[in-house]
Amino acid sequence: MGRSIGKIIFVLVAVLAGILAALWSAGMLGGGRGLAFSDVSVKGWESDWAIGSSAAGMITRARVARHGLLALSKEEAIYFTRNTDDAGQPLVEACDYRLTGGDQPSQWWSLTLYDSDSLLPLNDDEALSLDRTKTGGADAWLATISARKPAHDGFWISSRNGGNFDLTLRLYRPVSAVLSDPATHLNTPSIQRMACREGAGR
Amino acid sequence: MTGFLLKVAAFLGIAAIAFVVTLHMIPRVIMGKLFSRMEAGGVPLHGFVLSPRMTPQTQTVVRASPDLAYSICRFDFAATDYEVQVEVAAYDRMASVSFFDMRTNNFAVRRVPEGQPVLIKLRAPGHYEFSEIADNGEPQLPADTIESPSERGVILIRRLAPSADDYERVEAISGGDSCAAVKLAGGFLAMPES
Repeated sequence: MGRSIGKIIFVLVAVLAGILAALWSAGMLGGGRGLAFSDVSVKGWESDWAIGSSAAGMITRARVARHGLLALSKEEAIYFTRNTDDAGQPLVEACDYRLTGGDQPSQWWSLTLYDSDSLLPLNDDEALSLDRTKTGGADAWLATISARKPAHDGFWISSRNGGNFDLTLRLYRPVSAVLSDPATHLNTPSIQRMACREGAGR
Repeated sequence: MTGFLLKVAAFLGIAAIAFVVTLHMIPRVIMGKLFSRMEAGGVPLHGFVLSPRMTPQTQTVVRASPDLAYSICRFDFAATDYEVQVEVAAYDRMASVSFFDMRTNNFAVRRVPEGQPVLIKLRAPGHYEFSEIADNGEPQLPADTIESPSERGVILIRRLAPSADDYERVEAISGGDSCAAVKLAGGFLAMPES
């Protein structure tokens, strides 16, 4: 009897370990890394060309289902995610960032801020993203990421209530060169940390 | 020592099976929940519903873009006759219509030319008209027809609408979108799924 119970517990613990490992791999445990996983990485911006495709492996598929449900396959859209600044520090609401970039080789692009649950942060600042319609296709632009509206004019992405956040760069209808050689053709935005403060934005 | 190694191997084997089964189930469970949530939220089978303008207060799925307007339709071939006809109303900016199965695969996407409507037919898995079977027995669907790999799934129209004014224009034209289950007049051949 005791031996049987021991065997059952052994099996249950093994099953539990497998389930927990799967949930962690899918980004559903331990805070997760959102969509920040890759078979493609360009200057800290990560993507996976298998997103949305039937060729996606189990882990990619599960992670996308949790953090990017209904994502398109790469011929229509590609998604790059980044959760650190240029110095490798996590992106956090308590700090302001200087975001610089240029136009992208695609019909349309956008940069959107998401919290660690892959949701738009709960604020009413109406400054959730920056996209080509706002930059007018400019070759170079500058934006501020902050929990407070900057005093100066210019593009602003609000991180208020974003906590530990990440940025998703969408390229819709990318030119084929980006798919074959993203390191050369992707115009990766740069993220520099500026000032930080205590208990901001809540 | 051998007994201990066998126990470790058994533990890892069982854990690996649980790992694979769980990963396999996650997309289906999440899509199933989305399907149920849409049903509860009033999204009918075979009919497009335009989601409210995407904001932190209205978001219903992860990583929605606040710059896009989404119209969504659920399809279920267990409840219809072989084909769903999808019509996307003309819009003057970038738009696309995409098809997802219950494993989250984006099995098809069609671009919608600016200012033009698009008509696409979605066929139940393994169902073909007699006229679509080639001499070699292989099905050959017309260019405007897509075969679904699953009985159920989701069709999503995305339209570029970064401003409130853009969204209002989408609201004005989205009534012309349709996602209609139709009964076809011709004979049908149901082929077993490979």
